[in-house]
Amino acid sequence: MTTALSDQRVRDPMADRRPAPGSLAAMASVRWGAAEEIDPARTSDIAVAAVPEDVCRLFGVLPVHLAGDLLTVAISNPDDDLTLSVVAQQVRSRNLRLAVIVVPADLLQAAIDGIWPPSPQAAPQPEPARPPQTIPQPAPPRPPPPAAAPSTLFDPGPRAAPERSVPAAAPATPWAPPGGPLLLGELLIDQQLVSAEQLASALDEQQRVGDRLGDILTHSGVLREERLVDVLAGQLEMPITNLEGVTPEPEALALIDGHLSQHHRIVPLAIEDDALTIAMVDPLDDGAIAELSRAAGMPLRALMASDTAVDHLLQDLYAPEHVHAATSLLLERRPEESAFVVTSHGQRVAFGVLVGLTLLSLVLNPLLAVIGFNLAAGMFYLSFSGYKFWLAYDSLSHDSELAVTDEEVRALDERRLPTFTVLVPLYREAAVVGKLTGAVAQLDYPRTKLDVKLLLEADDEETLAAVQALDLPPNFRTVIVPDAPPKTKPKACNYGLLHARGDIVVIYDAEDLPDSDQLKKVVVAFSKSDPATVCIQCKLNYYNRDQNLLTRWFTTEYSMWFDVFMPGLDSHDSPIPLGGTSNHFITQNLLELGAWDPHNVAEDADLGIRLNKAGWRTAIVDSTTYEEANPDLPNWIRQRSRWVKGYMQTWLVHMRHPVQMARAIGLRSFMSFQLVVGGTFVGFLLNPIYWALTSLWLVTEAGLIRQLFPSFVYYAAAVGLVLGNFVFTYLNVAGSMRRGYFGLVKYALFSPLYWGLMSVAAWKGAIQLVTKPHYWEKTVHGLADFHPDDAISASVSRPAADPSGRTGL
Amino acid sequence: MSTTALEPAPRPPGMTLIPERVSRLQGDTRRKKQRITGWTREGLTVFGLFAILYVALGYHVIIDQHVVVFDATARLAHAFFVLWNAPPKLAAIGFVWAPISTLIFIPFVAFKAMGSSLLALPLCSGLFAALLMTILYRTTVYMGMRWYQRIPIIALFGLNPMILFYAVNGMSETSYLALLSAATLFFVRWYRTNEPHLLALTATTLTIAFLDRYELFAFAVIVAFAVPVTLMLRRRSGLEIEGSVLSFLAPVIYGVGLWVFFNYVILGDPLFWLKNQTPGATNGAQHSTQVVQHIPTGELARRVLDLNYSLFPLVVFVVPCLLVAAALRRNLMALWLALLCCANAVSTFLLIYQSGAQGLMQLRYNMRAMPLVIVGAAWLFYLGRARLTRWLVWAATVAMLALSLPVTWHTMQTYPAQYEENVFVRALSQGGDQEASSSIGSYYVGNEPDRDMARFITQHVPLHEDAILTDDGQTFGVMLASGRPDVFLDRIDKGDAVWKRLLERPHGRVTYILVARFAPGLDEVQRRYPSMLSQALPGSWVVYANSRYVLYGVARRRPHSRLTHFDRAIQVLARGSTSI
Repeated sequence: MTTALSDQRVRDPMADRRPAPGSLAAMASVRWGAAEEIDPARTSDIAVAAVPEDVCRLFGVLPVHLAGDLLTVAISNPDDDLTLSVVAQQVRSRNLRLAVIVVPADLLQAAIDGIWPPSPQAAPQPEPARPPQTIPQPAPPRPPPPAAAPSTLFDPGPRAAPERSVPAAAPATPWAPPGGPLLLGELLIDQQLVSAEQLASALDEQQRVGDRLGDILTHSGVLREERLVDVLAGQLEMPITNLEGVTPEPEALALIDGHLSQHHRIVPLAIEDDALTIAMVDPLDDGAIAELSRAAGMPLRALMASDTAVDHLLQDLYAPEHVHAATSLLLERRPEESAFVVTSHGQRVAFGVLVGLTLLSLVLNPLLAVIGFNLAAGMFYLSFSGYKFWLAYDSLSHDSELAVTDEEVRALDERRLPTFTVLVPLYREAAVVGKLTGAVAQLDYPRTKLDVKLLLEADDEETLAAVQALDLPPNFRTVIVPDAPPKTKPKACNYGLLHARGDIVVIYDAEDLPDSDQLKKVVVAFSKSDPATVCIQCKLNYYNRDQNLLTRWFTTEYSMWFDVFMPGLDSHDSPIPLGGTSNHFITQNLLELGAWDPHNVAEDADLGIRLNKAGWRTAIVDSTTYEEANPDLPNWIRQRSRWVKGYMQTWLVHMRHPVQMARAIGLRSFMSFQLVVGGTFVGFLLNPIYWALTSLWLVTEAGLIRQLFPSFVYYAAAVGLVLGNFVFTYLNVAGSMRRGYFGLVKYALFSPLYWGLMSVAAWKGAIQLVTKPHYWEKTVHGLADFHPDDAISASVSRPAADPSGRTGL
Repeated sequence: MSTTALEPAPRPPGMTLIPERVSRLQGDTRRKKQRITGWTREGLTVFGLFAILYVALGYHVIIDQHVVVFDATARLAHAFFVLWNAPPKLAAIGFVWAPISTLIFIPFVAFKAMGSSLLALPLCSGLFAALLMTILYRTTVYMGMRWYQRIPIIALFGLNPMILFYAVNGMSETSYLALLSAATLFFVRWYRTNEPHLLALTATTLTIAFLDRYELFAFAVIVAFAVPVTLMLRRRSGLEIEGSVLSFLAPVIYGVGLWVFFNYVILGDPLFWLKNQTPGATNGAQHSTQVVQHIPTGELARRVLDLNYSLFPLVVFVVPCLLVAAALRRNLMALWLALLCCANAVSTFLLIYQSGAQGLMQLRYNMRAMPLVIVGAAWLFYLGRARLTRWLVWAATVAMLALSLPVTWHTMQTYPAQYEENVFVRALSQGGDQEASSSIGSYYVGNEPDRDMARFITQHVPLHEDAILTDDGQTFGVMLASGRPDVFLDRIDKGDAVWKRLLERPHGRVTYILVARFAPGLDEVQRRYPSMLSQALPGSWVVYANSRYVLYGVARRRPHSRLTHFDRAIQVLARGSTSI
């Protein structure tokens, strides 16, 4: 190859193919390329991934090298502006710069085939038919709809999808003669609903993300959803329906299963003339129509409706079923794993026996009984401190997180990104709800693939009003959770999950501010982790850490937990008690698992354990969601007491069958569970007792206390006291240092004072476990004196649309 | 059952969107399991080889040739008492020595026989010496030396006679040298990577090293100074400097504070540990190490420098080279390493200058620079840009290490302030049992008197708890060799106050009193009854005695009372077996 190219260079057969002055190629960085540069063995994988295979084949181009943000693309004809335009768009969509090399066409084709070997079954590639228009022109006209199109009666069968704007570069785009029906973009411009610039921008985005033009326009705030429906209905000559106040016939509803309706976004309305009339968001979805028609056993008559209207009506219609599912999904599927019952019969018997034996030993030989208790406590402290230190050391010394590089994020093909559902449970959070749009809007993810569900409680009128007052983008949907017990966040999340459209689902709190590339990092992480990884936990930290001493301590604790401890657990395949938010699940897996336990007040931790028991895994990814650290002590105590109570619930739930659990997750993970979940609350409960005893002994040197700690017990207790306390304090220092919060180091050194507060909360939680096991101690949000999103909210708020629907052209 | 494993759902279509060619580039890099890496294998091999060498040699030297070092036995005995005395007490570690130097023996005396047979001595120091070699080997790996370059360096260092002696004799030297080397390696790694956890590890290991040997505080001070200066020159923020310094100082301050606190709570004097330092051993030796003598500054400096050269000549090559490298290459780490190496000599100089204690001129107190010089040489190797420079550094290091073998050997034979080094050299070169042989400094060599008295006690004395009143600070060798510390009523059992009350009125409360005759000024029994050795305490009689210990029988009543049948029986027994 090299020799041939050398010969060609000598003869310079391409001398007449230099970029014509004024052409795009002439303006770009163009040079002649060598054969080695397009050798498949030497091309950069990252570079090749920047342009899809079909585009490469169709236009005869090949990205060969990526240096920094400069992508070098090989072409054969430097005068082909269309090709260059397509390549330029591809490159721009990845925020890269373009350099062009020109190589002989035959060598280029050979290189393309070398990288993507042609399928043996594939027919020989015909000469690519170039679409006559170049981007960013609207999609080319297409053939008129089939004759049956004006009819509202749909039969199953293939049909064209005129509303879907095909990228101009796509080879399948048919060329239609002028004079056909107007395309959506043309209609919108004709009706002055969008400007040419807005349309061009939308088409550009469509090229990048591969979604429908209409969706892109509505999600970008250029066009209202109702106007789009009007235009589409006009374009397709279809009837539309306004679903406000509509009550579907029960007979019609009975024909289609609720899940199917929700899946295809339709509402069965009535049965007329042996046909089922439905309101449908996408009446051109042939597959859906075929499936629905089969399910109903009769032909369908579709009316167009807006997505929002269909969604609201479905919510109203199926609310009782959804409430039931949200409450009892886990309880019915896996009753043994539900915290609906605090303790099982066997556990009650075991505790009874344990208490009886303790009392008996206290009566028979109180000194020995207390020494035995002290010995157990000493061993617990030793193993607890040792295990945490080991995990932390391991985590700090090795790469325990699932690494996702910026390069990998950049290489993502946005057209193939999965849909993400973001669940935002809101209860009495009118104060912070305003910050939410800004936080979500700053996420680097196609808005058309972002399904945001605001989960509102029906009785929370204040937050409802606050949300209604917001001009939410169309990908934000409110889900009203009916007022039914238990009134917990996991129940609301389950309810939202039943309405989720995403392949992946994540929870964010209203005041959360995730890293902008978090969702993309998660997609990369899922794609490179093993199939058993069904959850990606991102790190949590606080933006108002410097508000007061409590928030500083809270931040040091979180830095240790998420930056040091969790990666350590992950690297040992141990069960990970998940954090409250920013845990991303494969939706289907989450549903199979029974979703969150609505009766467990630490449903996140519980879910992490269940996930591990099911043989699945959680991975930790280095992306942070910043939250509001609780700055108010009583509020903090409430929150922490709920967490500790939840940990107790979780421990009790999973210890109903300890032997079976040990078999299911392995002895090492079982011990890890005991120390991480059980140890956390046991430690907080025991600490005050031993602090008091130590202080008492230091002051009085009472012989009785000395008697309670004979030699070996004393050694264990001494090591626990001297080393254990230091280890935990120093881990907080290490966490702060690792996160780069150097200013918090001095506060981390006083962590033992913070543990005192934790013990107060732990005892409160323990008492509440007996008195009010399922009571959800609500944490008040919006107390932070600083929210970094304030600035973002102002800059990304949705452009105000003209009430008339026009954009002021 | 709810714990049945579920099949994960297939990834949604979009989830495979990373082109395979890209995803393969990075892959899942998490460390899932402990993998035995090439380095781990090499490290384990180095550790294993040196451990076998040192423990085997130690067994021969200590058990067969009886080159038993007094201090090492004392620490071992007190660790033994922590587990096996009656009652077992952590306070048995004592406050005269740095606590870690005793605590490290505890795992090795979990089996009584390992303590009473002294096998724990070579085992403990041998394993720590092997750890020291492994850390130094790791350092050379980290600095980029090839296997054929690092093996000669480690082998020559590991076979240095000073290292050999302290690797086999059970002293705490190898443990603190290992900790110091580890701390230095962590510090070097922090310097290169700025990873905060390495600073934490530096601080933690230095703190433990300090609790093993107090003089190492000087090294902590140097690092505490080096950290902010390094960060300042790297133009890091004030907060980062503050956080880094605090995270370094926290363990150091905690370690010191804790020891001060324990001294205060248990002894009532927070600085007891500082005030009661004894530079030399006290097994009856009459030698220069106990001398307090103020020497002119210049002469003292010359002696210290001479000592460092005589002990380990490599130091005179590496330290100047490090200083030159620091100046020419503007390399801060070279400066810090040079300072750490010099800290050894400087701290010795200052301590002697301040206290006049000539015991600090002992060879063993000046070993601190030995592993640091190896780290320094490795750093010089790392700094070498050209291959030739690296080879030159390596060749010079190897040559100096080879030279140090005869130089150190000679020094150990002839240097006046030493700690049985000459006995060890003699044992190696001539072989044979060194029991009761001569030594520079007049140390008693061996432990036969300990074993002899222990044999008598276990064979002829009715063994019951607290039968023998004794000052464990001097008679620990007997207590240890007997394997029954519970039969001794020592100062640890019920505290000094109770012990002293019993010493005032021992009759009827204890059956015997054991006195060390080699330490008249230090044995508390002798101090209370100075004439005891010449004329027995009224109401007591010699039951058994050897060259170093005397066992007295104690009447059950005070002298003016009539003797009981039991007392007479004891006296009869004593007459039959007394050897003096």
